[in-house]
Amino acid sequence: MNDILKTCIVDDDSIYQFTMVKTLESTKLPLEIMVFSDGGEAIDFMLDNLDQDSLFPDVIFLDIDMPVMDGFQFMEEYVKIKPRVGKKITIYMVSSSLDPVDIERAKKISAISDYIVKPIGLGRLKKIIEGLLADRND
Amino acid sequence: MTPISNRIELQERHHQIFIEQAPTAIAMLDKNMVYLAVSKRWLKDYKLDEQDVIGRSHYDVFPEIGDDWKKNHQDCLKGAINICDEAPFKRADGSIHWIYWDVRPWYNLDSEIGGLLMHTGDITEQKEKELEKKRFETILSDCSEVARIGTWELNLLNNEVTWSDTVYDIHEVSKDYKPHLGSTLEFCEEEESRRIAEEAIHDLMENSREVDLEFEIKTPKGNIKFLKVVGKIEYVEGVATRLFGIAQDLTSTRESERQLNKAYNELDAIFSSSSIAVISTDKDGVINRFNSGAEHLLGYSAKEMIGIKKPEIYLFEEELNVFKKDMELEFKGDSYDADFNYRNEKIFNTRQWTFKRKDGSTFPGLKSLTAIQDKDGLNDGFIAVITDISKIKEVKDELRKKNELLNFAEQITMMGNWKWNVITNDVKWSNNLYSIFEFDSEQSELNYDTYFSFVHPEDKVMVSQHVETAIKIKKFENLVHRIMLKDGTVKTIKLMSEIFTNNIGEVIELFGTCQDITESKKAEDKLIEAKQELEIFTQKLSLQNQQLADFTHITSHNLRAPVANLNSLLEIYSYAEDEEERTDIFNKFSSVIDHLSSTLNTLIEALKAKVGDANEQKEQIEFNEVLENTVQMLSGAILKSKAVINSDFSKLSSISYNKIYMESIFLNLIGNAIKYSAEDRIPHIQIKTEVRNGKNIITFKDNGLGIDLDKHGHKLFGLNKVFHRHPDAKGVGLYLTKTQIESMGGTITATSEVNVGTTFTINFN
Repeated sequence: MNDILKTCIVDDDSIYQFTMVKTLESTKLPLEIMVFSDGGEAIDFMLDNLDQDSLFPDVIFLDIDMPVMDGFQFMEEYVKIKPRVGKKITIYMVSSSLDPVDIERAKKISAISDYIVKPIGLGRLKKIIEGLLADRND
Repeated sequence: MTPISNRIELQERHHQIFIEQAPTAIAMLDKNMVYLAVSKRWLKDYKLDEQDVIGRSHYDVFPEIGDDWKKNHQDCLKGAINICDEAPFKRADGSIHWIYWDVRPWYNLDSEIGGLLMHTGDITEQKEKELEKKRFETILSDCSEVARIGTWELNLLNNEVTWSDTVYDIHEVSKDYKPHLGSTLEFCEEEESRRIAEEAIHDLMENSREVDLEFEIKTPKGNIKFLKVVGKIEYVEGVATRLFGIAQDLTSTRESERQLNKAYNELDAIFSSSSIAVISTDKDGVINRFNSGAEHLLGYSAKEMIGIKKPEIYLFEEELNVFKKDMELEFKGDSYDADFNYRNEKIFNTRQWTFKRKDGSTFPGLKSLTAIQDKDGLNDGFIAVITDISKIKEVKDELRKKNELLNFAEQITMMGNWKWNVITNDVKWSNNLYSIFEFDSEQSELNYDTYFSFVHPEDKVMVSQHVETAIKIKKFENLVHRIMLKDGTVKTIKLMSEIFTNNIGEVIELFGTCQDITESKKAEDKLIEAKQELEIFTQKLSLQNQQLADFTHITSHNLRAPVANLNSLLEIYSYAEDEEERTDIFNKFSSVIDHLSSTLNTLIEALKAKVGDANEQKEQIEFNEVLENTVQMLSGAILKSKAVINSDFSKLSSISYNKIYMESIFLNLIGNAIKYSAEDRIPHIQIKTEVRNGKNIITFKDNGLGIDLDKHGHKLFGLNKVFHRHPDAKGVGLYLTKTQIESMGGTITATSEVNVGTTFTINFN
């Protein structure tokens, strides 16, 4: 079994992308990181690789505010293709917004595991990744 | 005496005996009209004695004989013969004798006239019988005609039928009609009558039963008649030979009988009625009739009243006195007849009386009093017909009370009611309607024009059209319009109406109410005004709320994002492994800080627009000038994209506005149109001003990339929202544009189609 956790960042903020990659790398955990600048790019990738979902990420850190297709619009598209995806994907919605409207809306989507307010911080990120790795090994 | 003379003497003697003893009245007279011989019958018939006659002149015996007869006698003495079968002969004592006679001369042996032979007979008795029969027949015929009785006859030997004239009359057929045995059936139309007639004919023919029946016929003229037919059979030597009888027309008798019955029944019903009292009195004023209605109404029994009491027992003295006085006034007038008694006048009076029951309670009643007069014109009592009108009075009182209530209600609700007869144009108003219109009710007759003359000049067309339509569609929609009183006061009224039609659907009457709603209309207007103000206020408030929400959103997303980044960068910085990495991170710091300060600047701009006094810095701005400036500022981009800009400011060339905002709006919208133009076509931008419904509007239309508004519409004008993966997309321009427009009291909207183009519409006010 492949021990590497495929980790995906979907965010248009290049600084955030940079800090996330850096932070994930600093955990020294077995990760494979992929980055998409908006929901559209991410969903296109999944649609292109529906027949080989081994390429699909295990975990997605999804931003809300993005051009072309935002986090919520991505979730709408994802829910449509989810039945055709054999793999379990854990999705965290990540945003700098403390707006309760956003938080409430995210929590209503069952496919979203949790809502995380930026910045995530190394400690929290490490715990999430370790948890996911542990689940897989069980 | 010679034998011859003896023989002659003997012969004359024989003649004499023959004459004397002849069974009829015979007289023999000589040429001088002297009696020679008479028969005993002659003496008896003329009540004479022999010695009074023989040797006496005929004219002495009958002095009543006139000259005409004397002349007849002379004629006969010359040879004439006078014979009469019957003639009235008035005797000297005045009695009439009917006689026949035969007067002729007799001849002697020498064939010379010797005198007259008179032979008479008294047929008075026979004649009187004949006359009597004739009289009976005349009477019978007269009776038959009057009683409409005809006779008929059926010869049973040859079945021949004969009718008298009256029978023809009854059947209303001409004399040409030939009656026969079945004739009766020809006229019987009604089933039962036909059965009766058939049965009677059958009984007659088979059983020789005599006829006695009543039945109905229908004449050829279509008249229904009722007949009675009676017939008897005549037998000759035990054989029925003839059926004869009468036919009587009972139609009018039947009809009279029926009407009489009806009248009797009606009268009986009235007299037996328990709700109408019928009481009559005799000439002394004592009650002699007291029906069950009277018992019921007054509580007395007929037994205790009839022949005992007078009407005074159930009447009030005061009312009786008033009545007597009134009657005296009516009939006596100014005369001072001491014998005057109203009771003897032809009183027929109907008025309301108060009646006292046996138990002492009273009730109002309507009494019709009729005087009965005997043949001398003196009073023979009265008949009174009394009905209890307490129910009617109650209803009337109730109605009056309701009417008062209605008047009161109309006053309170400032309402009146009216009725308009469309056919006669007759109009009626309630009292309060006159008050509403401040119109004198005595002034003139009302019609539709009276009302119409009050209609406010500006509402006249509307009102007349409304009424016309209402009559056409037979439905009156409620109508509010103004009226102008004579003194110029304007009132607002509300008109409601029902429309009534006759049985062929023509409108005949309108009935409705008219309410003065001037005050409530004023209050309503105020309320509407207040509501509008409230709505504007609410709108402002919700706008402010929206703006507040926008700010929350902005601080949440646009300010927290760079701060979060700073935190993350700081964290990474702390465990950066080498200098190169630290430099890299530090560069990122400055990028984030740049972004942060730019966002803050935008926010400050926006805040300025929101809280600032942009409205106070208005000046008249020519759209042409603004466009020229914009084109200059964007000349590089326009040149590069070869963009074509068309403008049409003919409808609205200038506007009072904040100049900086207007330039910013033009710069942003034209800039966006070039920035997001389609790669495969030259950008075309059309800018146009117009005035729509009093609103100043400007549109910017491009043929660029377009935006999927279904997906992104909600954040089109948000801060830092970008929709294209365009390197220059910052998501600031439209946010600022919107903020500026709204701060000046306007709105901006967009319509777009992906890859066709976008149109932004700004409504300045």
